[in-house]
Amino acid sequence: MDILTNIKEGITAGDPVNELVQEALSSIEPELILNRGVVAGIRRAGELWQEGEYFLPDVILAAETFKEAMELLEPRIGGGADKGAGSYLIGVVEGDMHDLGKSIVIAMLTSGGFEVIDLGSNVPIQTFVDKVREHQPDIVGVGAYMSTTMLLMKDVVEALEKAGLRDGVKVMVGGVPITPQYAEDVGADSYGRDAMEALENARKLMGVES
Amino acid sequence: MSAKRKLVAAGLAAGAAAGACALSPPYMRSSARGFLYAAGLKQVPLPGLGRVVATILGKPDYPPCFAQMHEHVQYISGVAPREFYLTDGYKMAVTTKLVNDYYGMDVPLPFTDTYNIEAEAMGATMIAGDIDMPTIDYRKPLVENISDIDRIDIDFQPDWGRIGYVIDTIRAMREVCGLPELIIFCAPFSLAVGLRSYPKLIRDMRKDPPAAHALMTWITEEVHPRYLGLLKRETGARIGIGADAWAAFPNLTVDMVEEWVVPYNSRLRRRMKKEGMALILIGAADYCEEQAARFDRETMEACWLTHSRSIVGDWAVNGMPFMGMGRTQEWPLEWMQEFAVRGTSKRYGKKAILASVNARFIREGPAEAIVDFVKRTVDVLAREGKFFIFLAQVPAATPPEHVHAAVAALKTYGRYPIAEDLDGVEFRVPEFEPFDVWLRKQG
Repeated sequence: MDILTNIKEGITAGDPVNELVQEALSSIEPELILNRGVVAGIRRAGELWQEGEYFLPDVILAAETFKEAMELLEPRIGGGADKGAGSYLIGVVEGDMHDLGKSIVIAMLTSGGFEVIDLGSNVPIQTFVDKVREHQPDIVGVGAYMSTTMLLMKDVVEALEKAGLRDGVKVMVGGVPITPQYAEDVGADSYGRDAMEALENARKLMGVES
Repeated sequence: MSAKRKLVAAGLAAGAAAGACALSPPYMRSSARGFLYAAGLKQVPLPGLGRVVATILGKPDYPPCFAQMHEHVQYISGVAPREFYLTDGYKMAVTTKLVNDYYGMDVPLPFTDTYNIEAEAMGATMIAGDIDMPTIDYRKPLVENISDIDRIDIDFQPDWGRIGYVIDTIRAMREVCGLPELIIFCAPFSLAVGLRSYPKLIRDMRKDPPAAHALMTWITEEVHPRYLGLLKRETGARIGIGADAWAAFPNLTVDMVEEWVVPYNSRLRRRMKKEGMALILIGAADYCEEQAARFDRETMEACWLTHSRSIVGDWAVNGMPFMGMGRTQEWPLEWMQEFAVRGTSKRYGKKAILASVNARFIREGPAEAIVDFVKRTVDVLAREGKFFIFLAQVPAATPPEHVHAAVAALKTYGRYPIAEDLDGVEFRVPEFEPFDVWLRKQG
């Protein structure tokens, strides 16, 4: 079994792969490690979840392993990775530290060809505005877990409008309390019930075939 | 039960209740009325807690309703979030009682932040926004390595973190809400998540089980006994309710709950029993799958059985377990009913059911759809009694008319004996005043 297959299977199983990635970097292009190892592994984890074989703990372990591998690879990757779907800025609103869902969404978006910029959790409204201005992403994703913090989503959308940035970026919202109706109410363009749907809807917004 | 035995039981219940009424605190008097009602004295008016007792034993006048709604209470009352969540437990309890009464619910549940208090007191980094309750900063877990538990001070004191707030809340349960003093705490597995973070704990469980067991053992044998012991000394509380949402399905599979949660809950329950406390641990294996397409009946039923055992212990499987719908689930009602009836025991009858209304649904409504849902739920689940509505979460910005509609529908369609044809029961969406107008009239 080659090393890329080992990396792929390690990501899918949630086993630490950084030593393998380090070893691979000595002889293989980082873009190849990313696409055929790391991304292929998280994609397989997503498939297993969709098939009902994987449960949340399995997906979380895979997503965490994916994140660790990405931290190692990203500084070494130029423009050669498969990021053709678009760019996606994502964060959880201020006062909310619940970011498990976001980790999975990031993993799935990356596996689906998006370049993801992660603002983390507890993100102030102004930071969303500043980072949209700085990175000019195709999509900004705003997450919230609590029924109090979800109320800030509307403020984020309004702040983007006030800053004159809204027309240049699509807005998606997500999180446990969010519904399609709520997404519409706050002026978002789309929403994701879970990570898979977030990817599917993001690709629709970008006009990319699934 | 024979007529003679029923008569004797009613007499004993009446005697006990009369004695309790004369001597005991309000919650015992309320409970006694429930016993009297269940024993056949239907002319006894049921207060909220009495309605709960009568429901546990069978059929009350109509099913009780209560709610976990701290976000909504804070939102519609306008109490400053800092006071409500951080500094004034007494005010939080008073406000919760008022909103409970505003909606005509049966039992106020004055608690807010169930999952973070212990971890915060132990030194976990917290994040608090301007409009919400604090949460643990999971980016910086207190237990970064398992050896960290040796340096964490667990000699809990009343002035650590929000323990003083919790003590005020527990005292207010009796003084304000007419309940016994209850300690609402974070169950062992969920506390382990709070201290270690979910991804790290899951990785430990899969890749380094001895480390995960060491953490769970420390929490069960050292942390909780000290924390609960302090609260018992300060408030006199002898009942604890541990919340364990992190151990719900699909956060954990049933097998994982059986391996990692049920044994530690049992240990903690036994340990605290020796110290004069009864513990109820809620949430482990709660079937929280939200996507109907992924519903699996076999897993769901396995969850219900494990959930029951986790709550009170092994006797629950054939005893008096209840099935509680959570915050955002929409389980097939017929599956619930079949399972509850199949689990009927000679001693306790049908399994009790706490039905809920999906939190997203109660926020978005419309009121007419909520009424229809409650009506159908009553129709399918409530006919044999042992049925409650527990609104497991009422979101902050829920329109009050949606909650009023749910409560009114329950009281109308759920009145025993429940009508054969609920379509023939007249229902009117209730008129109500805004909370602030209602509040001014309360003096």
